[in-house]
Amino acid sequence: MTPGRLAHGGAWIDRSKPVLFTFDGTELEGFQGDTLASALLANGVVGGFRSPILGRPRGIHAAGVEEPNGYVEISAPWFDAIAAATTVPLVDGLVARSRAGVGRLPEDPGSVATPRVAHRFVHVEVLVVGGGASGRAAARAASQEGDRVLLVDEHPVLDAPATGSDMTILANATALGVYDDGYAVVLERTVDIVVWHVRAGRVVLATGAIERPIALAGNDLPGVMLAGAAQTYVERYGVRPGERAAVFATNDPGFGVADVLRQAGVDVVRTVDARSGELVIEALGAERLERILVRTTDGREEAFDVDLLAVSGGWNPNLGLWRSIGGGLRYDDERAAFVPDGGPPWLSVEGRAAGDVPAGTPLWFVEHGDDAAKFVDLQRDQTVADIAEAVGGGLRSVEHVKRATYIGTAVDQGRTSGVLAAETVSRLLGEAAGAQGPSNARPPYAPASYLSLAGPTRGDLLDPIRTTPMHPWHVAHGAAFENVGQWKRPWFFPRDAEPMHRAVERECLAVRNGVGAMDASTLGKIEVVGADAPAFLDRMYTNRMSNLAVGSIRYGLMLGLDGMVLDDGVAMRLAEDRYLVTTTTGGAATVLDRFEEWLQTEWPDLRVYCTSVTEQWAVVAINGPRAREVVSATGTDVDVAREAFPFMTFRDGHVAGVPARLARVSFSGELAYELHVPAWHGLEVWEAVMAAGEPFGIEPYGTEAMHVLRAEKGYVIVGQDTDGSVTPHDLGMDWIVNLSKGDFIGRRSLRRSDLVRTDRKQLVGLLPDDARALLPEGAQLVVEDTGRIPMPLAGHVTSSYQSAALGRAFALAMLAGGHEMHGTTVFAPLPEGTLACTVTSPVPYDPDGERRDG
Amino acid sequence: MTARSPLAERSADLGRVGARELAFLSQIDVRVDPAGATTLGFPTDPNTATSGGRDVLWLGPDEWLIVGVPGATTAIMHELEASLSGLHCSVVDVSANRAVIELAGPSRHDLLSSACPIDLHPRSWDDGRCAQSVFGAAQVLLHEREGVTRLFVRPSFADYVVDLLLTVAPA
Amino acid sequence: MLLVHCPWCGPREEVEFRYGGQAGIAYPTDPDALSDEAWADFLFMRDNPKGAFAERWYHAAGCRRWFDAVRDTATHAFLPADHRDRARR
Repeated sequence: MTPGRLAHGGAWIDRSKPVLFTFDGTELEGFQGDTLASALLANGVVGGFRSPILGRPRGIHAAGVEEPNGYVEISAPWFDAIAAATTVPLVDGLVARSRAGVGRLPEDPGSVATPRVAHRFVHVEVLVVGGGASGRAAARAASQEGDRVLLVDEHPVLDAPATGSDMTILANATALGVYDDGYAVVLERTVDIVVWHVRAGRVVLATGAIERPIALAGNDLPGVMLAGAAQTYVERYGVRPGERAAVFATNDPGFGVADVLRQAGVDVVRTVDARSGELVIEALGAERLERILVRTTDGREEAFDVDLLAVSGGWNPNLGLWRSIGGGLRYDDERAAFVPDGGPPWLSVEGRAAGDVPAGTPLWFVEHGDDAAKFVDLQRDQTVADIAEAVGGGLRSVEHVKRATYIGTAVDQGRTSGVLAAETVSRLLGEAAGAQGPSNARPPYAPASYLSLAGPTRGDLLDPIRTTPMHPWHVAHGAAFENVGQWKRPWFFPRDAEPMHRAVERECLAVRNGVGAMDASTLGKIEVVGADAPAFLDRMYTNRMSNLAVGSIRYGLMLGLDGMVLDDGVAMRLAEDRYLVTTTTGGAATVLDRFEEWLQTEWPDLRVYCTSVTEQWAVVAINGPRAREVVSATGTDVDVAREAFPFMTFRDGHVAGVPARLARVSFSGELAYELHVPAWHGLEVWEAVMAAGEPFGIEPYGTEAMHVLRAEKGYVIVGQDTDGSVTPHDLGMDWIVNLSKGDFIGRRSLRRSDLVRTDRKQLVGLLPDDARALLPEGAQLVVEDTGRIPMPLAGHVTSSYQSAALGRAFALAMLAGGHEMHGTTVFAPLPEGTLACTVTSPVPYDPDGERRDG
Repeated sequence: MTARSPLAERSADLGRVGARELAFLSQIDVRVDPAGATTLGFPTDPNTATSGGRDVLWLGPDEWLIVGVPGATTAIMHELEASLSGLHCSVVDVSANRAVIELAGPSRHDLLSSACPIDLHPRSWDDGRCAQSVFGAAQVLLHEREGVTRLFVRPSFADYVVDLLLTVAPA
Repeated sequence: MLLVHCPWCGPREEVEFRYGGQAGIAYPTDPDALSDEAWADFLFMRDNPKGAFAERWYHAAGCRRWFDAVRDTATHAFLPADHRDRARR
């Protein structure tokens, strides 16, 4: 038997199950069902804590989540940086240290056992928060109506109401917040954690009321406790919180606590009734409460030696959840409390939370004694004097006083200080009680770890890693990968641990001189079908698609309404009323969504249907002078002879025995074929191509080589050389803008005054004077090398590579007035020195396109 | 020809969560005006599906997904093109465009509810229902069919879906 | 998280939708006839009221339909609207 434990009683503890725990290095004993706080009190640990700012001795003040003083760090058997001891369930091997102020991370994160965290979405007609009598009644009534009901309570013990068929009851479950339209997040914490995302038709808050203290000099001493908490320790945990007690209250139930204490063997030496004008004017003691001073109605002072002062200044309906979603308050004079008044139609309040609390005399702080010793917010160490200073400095609003004093902002979120502080402000300003409500409440209602909120979609599951059907081959052949949006694409294929630039050089030379194969499956693909498909595409692209011959392919550019380049790709005309449109990898979903938006919202009369087929087709791109031979060797029924299969046309047939569409499209400038095959056959066709290409020295190549090869031809990459602020004219692509075909998206913007300025940044090529010098992508460009500061910025480098084909470094850049600057010199100031470059056309390699037919 | 389905390497993992891949199903995306769809017997109530030799799933007011056994794509497409002849419509083979996972067992809806926000309670979700939604960061199509749940997802997201199912499954 | 009522699918979680900005702004019938200022007004200028606001919503992860809704920008509550409204730019 420990000094504070009663011989009998304690409805929530199991005396047959003793539990060993450690607090600040001392091993102690409690029972299953105890909280850490009740077990500490049972062991006579009345103090044991320090206030965060002033370092004053503190002890357990309350019995629930409203506890302002008793905060601990738990290091075993789980880790919690900061938790209220009143909410920590006592388990075997619990190791706790008192903490004041900021929590800290575990010294050895690897050794910490993390709980399993699950998230669950659940739909109910009624969510009831709070399992007391009124909550259970609301849940029972709804269940009997046939509603799906979820009843949650933050305590570990909960009497189940008689149920209908569809009621779920969760204990150890805290509603963290209630949000729009009846959406609530509930944190259920046992050994593991479940975060419930609740969508409720309506929400009932039966969250009870929290007792209010009275600010009197010395009220922060260990041994000063909320009266209801003292009662709870006796009744729930069989704990006597003191030996000699006094009770100071403004309401009937407060005095009822005196009876409970007496029955528990506590010597209640004095009850002080504020309703009649009696006051406790001071609590005295060194490390804990030892004595109180009482002022009687006839003005005398009496002293009493006590180690427990149970205080009840009234009851505040617990309305944090109500207020955070916009529920209003009004002040009730008789109850000296704020009660709910007006909120969303799907949200209601029952029981004590609705204002069914005892009537009482309003008493916020005792006039007598040192204001600087009358604590209002225990966790922020803020007193009546601090509030008086704020008010004295001119602050009138409770919200401003909050910001000046931090009252209500600690872990306990002002549960015992909020109303007290607001009424203290009103009183000091000479306002009527209830003139201002307490400061606003926001979720989460109680602390929740990032681990719990993050749920299962974190780490590797934070973002999907998307791969193509050929991915296993790339992995098996040692590809290095880069992220292209959510996709993992082969970046380069290093051989024998060669550095990246060697691999890229080798891959580029293979494509220019022999043949290479690239996995192009990630490109977006959309089927556009219907009698108005030609007209529709004419409106979406800058160039005409309606006169594209069936069997042919055309490159197209797509603009935003603001005239800026948005996406590009090729369109294949499959039939009079049918196109296959390709997009950039990153633009696939965006372009399809745009098509749908225009068709549904502006042009519902156009007979066009769009269907995504991005992953229906895997694509093998074979590029290089020997590409034709490799396609033949792979085995195809398509006539790939030069005359039979011209550039920018396609043929349907078979490759390697698999149905395929072959397209003569080239992003390298070399002879090239794209093989589009059903994705199930992607891997086998790729393997067939690599096998057939071996005698021709075929090399797999990745996105880096692809970037170099296309840059050598001056082909832009939307999103690399463009950034949403670049027009076709800026890119030197007037040839693709057909202004006579009728309106298309972006057409009107192209003649906005800002878009026709001649000093706009325009696409150019750059050849550094030092042929080996690689300009960094993003390097800023200036036209003078005088070093004058500030330097007017003339442009920036968008793409920069070492070119095996050119035998030198080169870059693409956006340069103000660049179209007229070919042959001039510009400079790139860099930390290591300024690089001079000659401006050229952006097509440094094979400018006449002679290599494309092989 | 050695076709390879998106989840060919994941059958053991799928088995751990009471699931399996339905590989190579025929899938055809049909878009046509609701009036045309009615003549074909397509379901016009949103988010419902009909089952039979082939399933027809409502995806939108003018879009349906036809699902059939492996190898039936060409036959189904020819049949549809004939039935829809003369109508403004689109019939597209999307058989490889989605991987299909079949989840069985009494806890399959709880499993899905770990990362999918739609109401899968029996009073809202039973045989003949289908819905497009999200499962974590993946867009999915769900179809409740004869006591099992089919989950359709783009192949490139299929591994993520399996990994997420494994993560949320009870230990 | 908002609960958004798709006219076809019924109430669904906000995560399935994309917000489409102000409703009722039609693409001009004759863009060429507009001055730069009028064109810029169409491109960039949108209302920002406190209170009821007609908006476009797109059921991106669901049936992929666009629709209009009226919503109170201060309380976030959707207000009754004709379900069959088509969104217009």
